[in-house]
Amino acid sequence: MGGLLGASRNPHDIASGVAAAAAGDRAAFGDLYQRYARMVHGILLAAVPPQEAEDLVQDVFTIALDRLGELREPGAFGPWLAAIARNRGADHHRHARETLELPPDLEAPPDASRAEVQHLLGVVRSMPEAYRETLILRFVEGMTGPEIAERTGLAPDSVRVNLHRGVKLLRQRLGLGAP
Amino acid sequence: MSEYWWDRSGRDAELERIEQVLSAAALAPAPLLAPTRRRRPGRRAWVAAAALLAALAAGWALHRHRAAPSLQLYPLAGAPTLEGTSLAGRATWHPGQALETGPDSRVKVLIGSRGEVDLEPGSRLRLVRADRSTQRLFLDRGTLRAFILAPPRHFFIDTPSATAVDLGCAYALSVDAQGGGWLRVAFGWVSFENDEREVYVPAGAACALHGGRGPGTPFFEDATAAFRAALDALDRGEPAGALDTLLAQARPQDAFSLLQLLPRLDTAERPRVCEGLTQLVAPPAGVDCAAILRSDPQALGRYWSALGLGEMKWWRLGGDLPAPPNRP
Repeated sequence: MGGLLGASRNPHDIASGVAAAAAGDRAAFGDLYQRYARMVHGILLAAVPPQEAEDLVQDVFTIALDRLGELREPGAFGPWLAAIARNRGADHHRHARETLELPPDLEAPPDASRAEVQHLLGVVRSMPEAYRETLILRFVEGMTGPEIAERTGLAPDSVRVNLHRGVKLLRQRLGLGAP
Repeated sequence: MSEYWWDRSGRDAELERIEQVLSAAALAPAPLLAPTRRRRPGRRAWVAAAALLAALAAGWALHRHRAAPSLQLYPLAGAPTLEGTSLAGRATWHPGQALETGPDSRVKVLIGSRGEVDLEPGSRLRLVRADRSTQRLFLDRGTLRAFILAPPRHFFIDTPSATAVDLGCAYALSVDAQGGGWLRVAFGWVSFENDEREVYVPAGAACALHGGRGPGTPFFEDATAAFRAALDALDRGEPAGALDTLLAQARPQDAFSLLQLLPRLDTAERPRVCEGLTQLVAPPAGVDCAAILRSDPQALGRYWSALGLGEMKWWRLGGDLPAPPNRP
């Protein structure tokens, strides 16, 4: 799964890509989209219903493109984009009806059902805010802990603590036995 | 001890199962897919620039040889219709079919890996053509937002008065019952054209659509109100006093508007506007108003590059190179 997101790149590479995108290089923007779309989706999914998270991904990237020139440190693109996504999710949440309905085109894995996806997602989305986003990025979007830290700009130790505690609480809520 | 929860090292059957089930809710494979190779505009050497262009051309060539994208419809709100039948869930859109939204309905169109279009309430959009090289829609009325990362000049939206040709961008387009409307570009470029006129609209700029007369002259949305009003008057053929206002209000960044206005003016007025234009943005060595006014392609291209709106060559790859902005 991690391969979908590409290997880690250093902040200089990100900064170069952001500068090129800000100058109008759409291929550079395409690279940024590819790299960060799942992070944005995961953050949104922690705040808004599943049906709407995907729609808002486009909004977040459009907002980001519009404001790229305001980004003072291009190397901090990930944290900056994450903040836009959180704000967009919070803003949308205030006006939206909360529902756990899944997108109509969502296909469950071969040995699971839509109901199981919906149930598990509901449990994760009901977790305390401190754990919710990290758990979604890890188990829905398929990012590893180090990838989450690298893309969102959060301290690796913070991600690790939130993920560890979040997984522990998730097991409890699901009635699972492993430590 | 397994740290599967952290970096997938070791085994943890419970978490693997949770991850497998929840992965169904992950973002679908990116609908906005750019050419796959890493590239960056060359800044220091012609060699780097040439390599970049070759890479982009190759990437876009690969796009061209992909299978035709499937256009999928997703109702977002309300009760949109496809060919008069209620659109309850995801559907595939076929050429010839018309999509309509009522006062409270919206639809998303996913165009394979090339982009997406949101159709806003009160709109009618038809799919004219969808094959591996071209996707062509016709907006009869209403508003859409497009977010396209396809090769330039592969995605078109016709309206009753002009055609929006995507050059890689995010934009909104609106058409009223009289065929008038507007285009606003958030990112990249759009070429807005009909049989008589072709204008280029960059990010941050907008362009009016005049029913029956095609696109107006594009302008940056932060231009002064007086500048925009003068430009509109000139587009409508009401030049009295407008030219003075236009030149007095123009900022250096408005030079792109003046450059694209030039072909619309009477021959007698062009030298004056060109002089004002070159005072706003100095032309490169060897380019002067004489060359610009006779539409010398090389001079126009060089002057266009001097406007600081990005390298037009980025958007011109893909075969059908658009002519300079004020082609006669």
